[in-house]
Amino acid sequence: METFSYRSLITLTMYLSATGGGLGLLLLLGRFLLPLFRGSSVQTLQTNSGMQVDLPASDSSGPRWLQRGSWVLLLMMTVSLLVNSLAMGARYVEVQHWPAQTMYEVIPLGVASGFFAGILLYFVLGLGQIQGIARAFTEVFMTLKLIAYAAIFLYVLNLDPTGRPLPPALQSYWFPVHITAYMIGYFTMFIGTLAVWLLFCFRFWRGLLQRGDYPVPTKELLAIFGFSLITVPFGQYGWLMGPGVLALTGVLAGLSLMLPNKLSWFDGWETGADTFTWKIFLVGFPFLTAGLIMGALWAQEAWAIYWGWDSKEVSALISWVFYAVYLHLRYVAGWKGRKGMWILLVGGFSVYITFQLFGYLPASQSSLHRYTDMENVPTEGLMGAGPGG
Amino acid sequence: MQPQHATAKDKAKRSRFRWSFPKAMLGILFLALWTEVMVTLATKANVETGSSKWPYAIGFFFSVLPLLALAVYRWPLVFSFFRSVKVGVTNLIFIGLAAILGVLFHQEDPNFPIPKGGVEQLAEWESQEGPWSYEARMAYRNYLDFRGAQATFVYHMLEGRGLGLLGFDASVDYQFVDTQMEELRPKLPPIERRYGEEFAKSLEASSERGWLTRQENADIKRLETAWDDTWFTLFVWADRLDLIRTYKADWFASLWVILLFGVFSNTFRGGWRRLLRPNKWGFVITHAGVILVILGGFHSRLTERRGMLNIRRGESKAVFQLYSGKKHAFVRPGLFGETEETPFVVRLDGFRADYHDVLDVVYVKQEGDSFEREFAVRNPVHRIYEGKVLRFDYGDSKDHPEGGGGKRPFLQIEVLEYLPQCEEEFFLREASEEEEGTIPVVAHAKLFQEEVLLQETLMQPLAIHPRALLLDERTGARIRLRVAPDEEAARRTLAKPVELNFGHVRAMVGDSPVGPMMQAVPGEETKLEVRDQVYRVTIKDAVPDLRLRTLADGRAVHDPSGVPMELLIPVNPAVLVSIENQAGEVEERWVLEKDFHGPEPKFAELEFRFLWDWWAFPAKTRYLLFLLPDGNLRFGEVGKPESLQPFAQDGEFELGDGVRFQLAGAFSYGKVETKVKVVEGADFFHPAPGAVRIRTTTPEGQQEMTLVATEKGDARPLRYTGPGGETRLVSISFRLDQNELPKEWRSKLSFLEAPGADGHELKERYSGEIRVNDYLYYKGYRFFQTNADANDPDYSGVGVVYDPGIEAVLTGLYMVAGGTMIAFLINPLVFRNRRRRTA
Repeated sequence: METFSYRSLITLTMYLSATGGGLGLLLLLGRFLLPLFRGSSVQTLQTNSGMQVDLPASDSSGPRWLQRGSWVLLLMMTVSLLVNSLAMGARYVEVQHWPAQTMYEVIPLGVASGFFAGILLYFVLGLGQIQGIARAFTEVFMTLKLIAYAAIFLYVLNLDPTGRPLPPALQSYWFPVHITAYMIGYFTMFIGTLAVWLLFCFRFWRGLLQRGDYPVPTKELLAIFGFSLITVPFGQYGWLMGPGVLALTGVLAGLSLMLPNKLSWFDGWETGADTFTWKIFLVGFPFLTAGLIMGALWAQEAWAIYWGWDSKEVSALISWVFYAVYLHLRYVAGWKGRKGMWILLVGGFSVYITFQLFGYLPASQSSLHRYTDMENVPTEGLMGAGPGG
Repeated sequence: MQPQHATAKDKAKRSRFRWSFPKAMLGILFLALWTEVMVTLATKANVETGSSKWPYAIGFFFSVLPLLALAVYRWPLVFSFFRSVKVGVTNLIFIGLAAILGVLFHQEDPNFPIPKGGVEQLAEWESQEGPWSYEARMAYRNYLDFRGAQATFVYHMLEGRGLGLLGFDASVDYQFVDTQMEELRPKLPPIERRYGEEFAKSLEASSERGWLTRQENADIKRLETAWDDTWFTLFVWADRLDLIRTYKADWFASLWVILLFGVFSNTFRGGWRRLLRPNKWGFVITHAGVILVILGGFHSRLTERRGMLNIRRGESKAVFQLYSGKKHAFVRPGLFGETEETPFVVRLDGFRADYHDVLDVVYVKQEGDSFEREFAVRNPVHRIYEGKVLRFDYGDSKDHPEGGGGKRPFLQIEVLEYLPQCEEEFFLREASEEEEGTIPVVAHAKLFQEEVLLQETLMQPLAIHPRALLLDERTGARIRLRVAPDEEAARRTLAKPVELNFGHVRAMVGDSPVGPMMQAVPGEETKLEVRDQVYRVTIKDAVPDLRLRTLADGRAVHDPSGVPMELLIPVNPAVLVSIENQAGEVEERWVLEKDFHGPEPKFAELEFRFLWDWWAFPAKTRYLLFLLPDGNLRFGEVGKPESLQPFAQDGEFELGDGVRFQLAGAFSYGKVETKVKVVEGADFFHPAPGAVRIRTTTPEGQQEMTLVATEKGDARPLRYTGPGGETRLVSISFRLDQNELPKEWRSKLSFLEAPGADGHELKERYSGEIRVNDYLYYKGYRFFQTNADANDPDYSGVGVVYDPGIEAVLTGLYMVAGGTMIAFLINPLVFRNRRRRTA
């Protein structure tokens, strides 16, 4: 494998991301095991996103390497973004066009957008300002992102890597900006979904483990548990993001119970959760809108039709309408808090369908947007005949 | 007065109907249903004839009445409905749900919709006699697409996710795929070493997916037929509820109308002063944009015309074909029908599809005289650019003459230069006898008129190649190359006149020649003895370009062009022979150089072969170029020995009528080389192919080659020593990749109009080029490149759209983009800073 080829660079990004994820898991263990040997009192801090965080005062004076933990994760994310960007540059040279023609190219572009959005949100949400044990949420949030990105790269490396020429319809200045805007929008919304999911998972465990002090309605517990199972049919990645995240938060919640203040560090996060997820939405929604509008303007230039009700366009519109409904419900019907967050959670699914499952939709069989389909041709000369063939 | 006014206002507020989410939902559903009823009644009233139309018309009247009554007597209710934000949000949810329905059902092609009543006829086909109607056939075609799409979706969403399909046993044999992959994987490492990791990975990934896809597709086909009744029931209901044409449904349009009124009444409520507040700008601009988009969309729906202009190079057309199949003239249609305008005409002045040029590097093995690919897999396709380096055949560095550690490629191909449009120019250079591919006694000759190259050829003595001479149809001159031992011998040769001859005729019986070789001169006669027969063969005529004309009696005779023979180039040379047997029976037969299937010959056992003499047939002047043993040249006119003169390697000679003979080298041994050069001033429409100059690096050293792109790619062999001292043979070729879509296609269009009411001659008003993503606009019509045919290079498929709603929609889209940016980006920054300052 050549050192500066696209493939070698995305492989390196995968290892970097996985290393970051592994470090994050170690940090989390340290975060919850070390305070067991320390005393506690409570202090309240307020973050950029407006959330109130209660934390044991003694935790803020923990070991320095623990306090710097999320900075290490941020650093890993930044380095991964740089290598990922280099990979995209290498691919640009290899295929001589913006690398967004096949899933082998689009997904890493999306992950690069995810790294970018992750770093941006770190500052927008003020994740670095949180001190003490409450910082565990920041770390689990970033760790999961890094693990998810590494897993995505593992998937990408098993795709057909053949570079394909750009058909005339895609040779437009809209191609890079339209796709990139969508990728930033999609991956920011995925991050939003992950944030909501993490909050719900912790709430689930708290409701289960601290039933007396922290009542959570049974139907909500069932809904959260049910949601974790929805992802199961989507293979190993579904297992990772659904039951996997629920199990990880369960372990962390279990460890938390051994601390003097148990899961009270989560109170502040829960109070600020709405603002937290709203800010993620505010970053992602303009990109989704820009992607949608740029698509219409591009279609108008290519086919003199700004909206052809093509299934990809409609799928993208559905996701956009989903978030537009969230926006309006929040503004005019007061759907703040958990009600709104449920919409964000399901919204992630809508985006996933548009991005990855679109090819199976009945209306997609004649779509003009089937550029990323792979040519699935068995290697006849090297293999025997198949069943019935 | 003030308190009283306030009380009245409060009273009005209290009495206003409050729309909750459930009520809003019911209200919207009611309106959508009502729209469907009204449109159905109005359409029926319009379509039906005679007395049967009246029930529908009356029904329509009575269905409109309640709505009018509602608007007049309960206006606050109607007003509050459209003004309610909850109604707006609910409506947005409905639009989202409708869109979801739209993607969950296979949509009919809007350009080829199912004709009215088609699905009903299809549903009742068993009760109908005779062949299926057009409507039923169209419906069935749509049903097959629908069934396939729905089955694919259901299969992948349920079976593909491990959830299973009720009553259907999927038969994907994962074990089989695993076995196949286990068989494949050990075969991949040598391919990976030779072609690289990406190619091997591509084979592995596409093979695994391919094996699965094949089985899944077979399953889906079975699912289609196994659940046929269910799919058909679903299809019929999807048709009835317009779910297979969701976005054209009237109930869907009604949702957009509600959205339009809702956005309008909510955006501009609260007085105009409110709209001027800077913190509201983003909101107002975004929502005003949405209103424009919806209004523009409705305008498009009412007035747009879409179709195709199928046109060939040089053609002019005043009509195009709508997707419905009807023809439409290039006139601006009004809201209420066509205008009286004279249509303009579109002419296609140029078209070209430019395909990608790709480099094929294929390892081959030689078995006897035949070559075959070393690996029975598809070839890797390399799209090249200047500076690209391709590496092949990785092996241990210790096997390489340069040594080193680790692995290294034994073949490297570097693209030194890529010329997108070029032409190949050949030239002759002096070579040694031992050199491979040399030509003995050869000259490179050219004919020019002014500066235009008329022809160029390689000349050789006639003893080596009887056709390797130069013929000029303008001056009637012939030029050939000869070898002469010295100048005196050359002069003697010039003095000897050329004996007139049209060629040579040889009689054959089967594959054996019979009798002497005959000169193809009219009057030449010979006797042939064939078994027990004696034939008298006479040459009657000889022509350099036979053109047969059939007479009224069925005989075919030569139709001379009238051009003197001296000025003719032998395109279709022929000789007329007369054959007479002992019984006095005569046959006249045209004998051609090329295969000719004329009438059945009388004397079938006798065949003739004929070769035209390109030098000795009538000419105005003949010139000889002599190559002397010392390499010097002499040139002179036949019959004029005094004209002999020394001639330079790049000498020129005027033949008359502005035609010039130019020599570009003459040698005892020469070799033809090619030189590729860029076509100066070529635009996109110039058909010149691309070329690439590459440098190969192997253990044997470096080598450069230039390859010009052709349809199949002219393969160049390359041998080198690979890892382990094995000899490798590689085929390198450069070709047009016609398996993929073209790199680009463009048309050059001109728009012509009649100059006035009394004018007949069309005048060109406007012209321009179109390519995908770059359309041309003329008088409300947009022309965009959409189609091409690889088998017909003159054909261009031009999409035609007349849509006056586009401008409003585009403005709206820009406003939504700008408004969103203000609302989400600028406002938060500006107002946060302001709030901070205030605090």
